Amino acid sequence: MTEKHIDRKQRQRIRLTAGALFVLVTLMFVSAAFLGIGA
Amino acid sequence: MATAHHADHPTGFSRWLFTTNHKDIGTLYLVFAFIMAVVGGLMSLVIRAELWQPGLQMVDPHFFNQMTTVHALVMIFGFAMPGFVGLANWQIPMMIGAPDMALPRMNNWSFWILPFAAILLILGLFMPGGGPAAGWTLYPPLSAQGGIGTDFTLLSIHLLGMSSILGSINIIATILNMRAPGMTLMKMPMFVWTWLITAFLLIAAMPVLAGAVTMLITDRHFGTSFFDAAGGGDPVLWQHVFWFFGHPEVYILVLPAFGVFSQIIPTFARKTLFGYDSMVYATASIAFLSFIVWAHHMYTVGMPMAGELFFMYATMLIAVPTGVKVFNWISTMWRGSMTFETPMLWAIGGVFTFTIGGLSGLMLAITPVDFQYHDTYFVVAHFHYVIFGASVFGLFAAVYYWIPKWTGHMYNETLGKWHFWLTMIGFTITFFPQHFLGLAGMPRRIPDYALQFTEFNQWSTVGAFMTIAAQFLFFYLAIRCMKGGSKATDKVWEGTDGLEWTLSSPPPYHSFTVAPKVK
Repeated sequence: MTEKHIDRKQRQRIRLTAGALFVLVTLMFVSAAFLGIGA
Repeated sequence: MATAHHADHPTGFSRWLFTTNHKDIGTLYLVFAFIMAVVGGLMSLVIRAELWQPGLQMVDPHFFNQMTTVHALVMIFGFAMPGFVGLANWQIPMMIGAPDMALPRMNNWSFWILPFAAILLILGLFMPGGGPAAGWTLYPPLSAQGGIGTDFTLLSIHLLGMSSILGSINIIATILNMRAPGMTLMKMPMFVWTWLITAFLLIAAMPVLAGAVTMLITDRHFGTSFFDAAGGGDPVLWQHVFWFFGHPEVYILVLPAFGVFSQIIPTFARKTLFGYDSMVYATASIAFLSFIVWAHHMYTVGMPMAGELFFMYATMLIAVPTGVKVFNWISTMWRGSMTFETPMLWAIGGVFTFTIGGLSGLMLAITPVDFQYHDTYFVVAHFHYVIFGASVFGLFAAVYYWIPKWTGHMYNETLGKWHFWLTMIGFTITFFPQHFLGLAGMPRRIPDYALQFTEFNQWSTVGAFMTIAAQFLFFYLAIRCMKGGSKATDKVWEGTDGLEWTLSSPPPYHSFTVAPKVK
């Protein structure tokens, strides 16, 4: 697959989705760790 | 220039190492998964051979414990999960009319983490002190005391988790952003829906496991006491955090199989899926409920009555959306023009065995009853009915359903049916008697047992060898199908409906370079 199959707007939306999901992953990891520290 | 590069198909080893193509990566995942199934299957034979009769005859108890632990980890993280990610890679872009996955380079990375993780997991067995022997749940203090093999396993789990998280991000980004024009969310095939929900489960559950594993590593090597009572910690904390991951994990393994059943049953009943909307909402409900039932795995550690009641009722509530799904599959078949080709046999077999596993799950959900069944072979029977019965049956159903599309060749239908029936009978002989063993009080994860359990254990061992032997048929069939055979049509199955069937069999290297329009 090359860039020409996806327009710029779609590319931006993909990056935004992936970025938001990475933030969610980090939050879940940190909350598990804080649960441990809190206990 | 871009077009010239686009048309370039690397060959040989570099094609597989550097590939960003969803079909190649899907194939890599599936091949990896089935290799791991062989490894995990051989471990199960060691377990069953030892349990052929009371007393210790084949392996020492410590090695037996390593086998039960690594068998589970290999089957869950090495076979079932990568198997379904392989299916997702192959099918999701073709089913939503996309040219490829949204993040193809990350897709390559997601896969190539896996072989290294698998090597770590297996190498652990050969370290001084052997591999992990605490069971796949890795409860401290046992897991805090293991040798360096346990560290190999913990690192391997981190890598496997990373791979799953990256894969899930890719799947969500693909489904949300790359659907063909006209394909609204509520027009997506059920397999895509179940994978979208599964990917969110993975995103929420895997980092929690990573957090728990990190705390265990720091307990083992950096002087912390998260799970060490002597240092002010609490081993029960591990159980809470682990099962917050562990219960959604069951649905991570099962929901994509539900998606497969929802594709196959309408095809061979020649009807549209009954209650599509309710299927979507039921899947989402199961996913939500899976996060609020974790403590039903640990009733026996002791918790307040209110906690026990909450987790009991919340667990029983899962039977409602699950029941909706089973009802819908049966209603789809009702008065359909049914035929029973191999994928349909696996799908119906999967619904049947899963329903039995679901019912024994309801029994285990009842707190006072669980006090009797906890850590017995009843639990082993239950989760094999769910995970083998739904996930593995779903995986086989999917491979038989789509392999003519992938390879362009039909598989041998007679051998396919033999594979199904031998596995179904072998599976039943293996796991059904284990219900009785558990009810009679035989504990799980032991290499020896009291004399009165001998007969059911021997049934179980015979069934296990039969089940594994039947899988040779599958490998023979799949390899023969890849090499040649009668030509498959583009539509393959008469009753199918969906974008993947509009492509040629096998599909072009880059599918849907021009997005199709969905009405």
